[in-house]
Amino acid sequence: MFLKRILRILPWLFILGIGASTAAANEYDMNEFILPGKYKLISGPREFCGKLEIAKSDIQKDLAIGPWPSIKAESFTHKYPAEIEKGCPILVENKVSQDKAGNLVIKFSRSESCANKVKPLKRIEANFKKGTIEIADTIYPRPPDKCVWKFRSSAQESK
Amino acid sequence: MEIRHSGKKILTIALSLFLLVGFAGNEKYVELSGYLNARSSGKFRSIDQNVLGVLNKGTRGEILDRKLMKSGNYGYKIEVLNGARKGQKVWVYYNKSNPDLALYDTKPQEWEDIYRAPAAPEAAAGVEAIRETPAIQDPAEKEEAPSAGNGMEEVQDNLKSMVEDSAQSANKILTSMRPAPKPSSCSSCAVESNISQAQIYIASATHISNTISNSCDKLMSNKGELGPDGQILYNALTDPKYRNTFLGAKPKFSNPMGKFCPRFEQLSGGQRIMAWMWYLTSLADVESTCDPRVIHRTHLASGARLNPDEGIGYWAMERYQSVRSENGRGSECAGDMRSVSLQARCTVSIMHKLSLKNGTRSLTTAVRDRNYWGPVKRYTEAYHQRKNPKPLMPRMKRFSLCF
Repeated sequence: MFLKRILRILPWLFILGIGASTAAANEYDMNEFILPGKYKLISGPREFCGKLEIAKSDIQKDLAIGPWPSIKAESFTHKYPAEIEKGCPILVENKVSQDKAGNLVIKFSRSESCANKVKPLKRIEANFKKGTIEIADTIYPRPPDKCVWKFRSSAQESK
Repeated sequence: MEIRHSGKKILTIALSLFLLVGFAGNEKYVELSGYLNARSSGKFRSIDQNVLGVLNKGTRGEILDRKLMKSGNYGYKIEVLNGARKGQKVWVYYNKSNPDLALYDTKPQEWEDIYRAPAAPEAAAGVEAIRETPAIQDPAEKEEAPSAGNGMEEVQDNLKSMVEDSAQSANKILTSMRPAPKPSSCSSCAVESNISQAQIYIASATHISNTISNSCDKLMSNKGELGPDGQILYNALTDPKYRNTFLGAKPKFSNPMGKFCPRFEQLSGGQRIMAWMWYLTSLADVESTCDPRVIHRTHLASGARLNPDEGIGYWAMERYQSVRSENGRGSECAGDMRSVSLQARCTVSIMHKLSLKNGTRSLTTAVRDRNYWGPVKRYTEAYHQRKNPKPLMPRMKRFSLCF
């Protein structure tokens, strides 16, 4: 009886274990990739990208960078009711990963799903490497607008 | 059980009598002074959003219909006989104990020579607005026509309504009485009377850079008169959740407007709210030429990027719910953003949370920091004169009380 019970529970424990380890793998410490302080805009439209200053307290899972109010360091998929075309719900997807060079990459997409056809509306790709932040924002069908900032001085040095 | 039940009844009656006696004095006067809105229907709660505008002193009307409220006050449907709203049929509120209307038995054309003996509200044939102060917020919030119920139930309903209204007004008065370094001549006055003072302090426009577009009259005119959308914005600003922040009642930042209103601390409560009203009207003018339906595109025709996402309306709120949800705007911004009420609520909540960081900093103490609105960030007059064809600061400077 006992063995039977164990055998019944074991697959579930296995699945749970894999899920937990995947979730853990998707959790990144943003402090490893972002330095607090002042950044200089290297390329991109100045009026849109603006100056960038990141306080230590700002470095969280949910980041506000330049004109983007919320860049999230977690993977998720959200679905919203149709708001542009009738019968076309909105899909929002966010993926976090680390590339071969060790940079943190966040890919965000917002699209409309119409009769099994996905129509992209917006895409953001953010690359975080200590000292450099690159964000490319595409509003379809326009080409991407890209902002690149380089670390200039720490918050303490700038005082 | 019976004893307990009758005991409850006695207690309720005693409490009712106590409260009735309690509200028979000054509280009533404070509660319902100086308001006169023109409404499209006989509902007088703020959530009804049927305010068409403001009736000024001297407005006359013929009573077409009347409605008795739970509290014993009246709603009158009148046909306006003079002024800007001549010919319009609107509802106005009549508070018996503190009337904004003078009532007459005779017809309007005889008003000039009439013996001005006040008529009983249920018998009056004509009305005239007697207060100088245009309406800002209706005093009859949460009041509706009487229900079929009677007896104790009705008394309790009336009391509940009175307590709620009284508490609301009392809060307003308390906030308006916050001590300032140099108090204005009105040291213990209500928000309402201060608003009338504030209106006369808006200087005339001298240049295109400080002229508020005519389309902004829906919010606030060049003369400082509130329009129907201004009423909605006023309600959002004085919401208990945000009021202390906008009044500067938080301990850290007593001047939440910063350089947009250097003399903020010397203003009374009502004047502070009016300063915000003027500021947000100026911002709406700069952002949208006060068009609540305009779409704010992400790119200019030249291809230059303007906004991270599409916006809509007076203050360029994020157009789509999915975007607002992802950006964590919260329940205050949830819904169809074509609604002016939602635009006002969302704007006030974003300004409270982001620009003022829940009342812990002023609009201009952290200008380089994130702010929802570009013009808020770039506030200096020099900047605007140099670069921006639609500057915010020169408009704000017309609110003389602030400078």
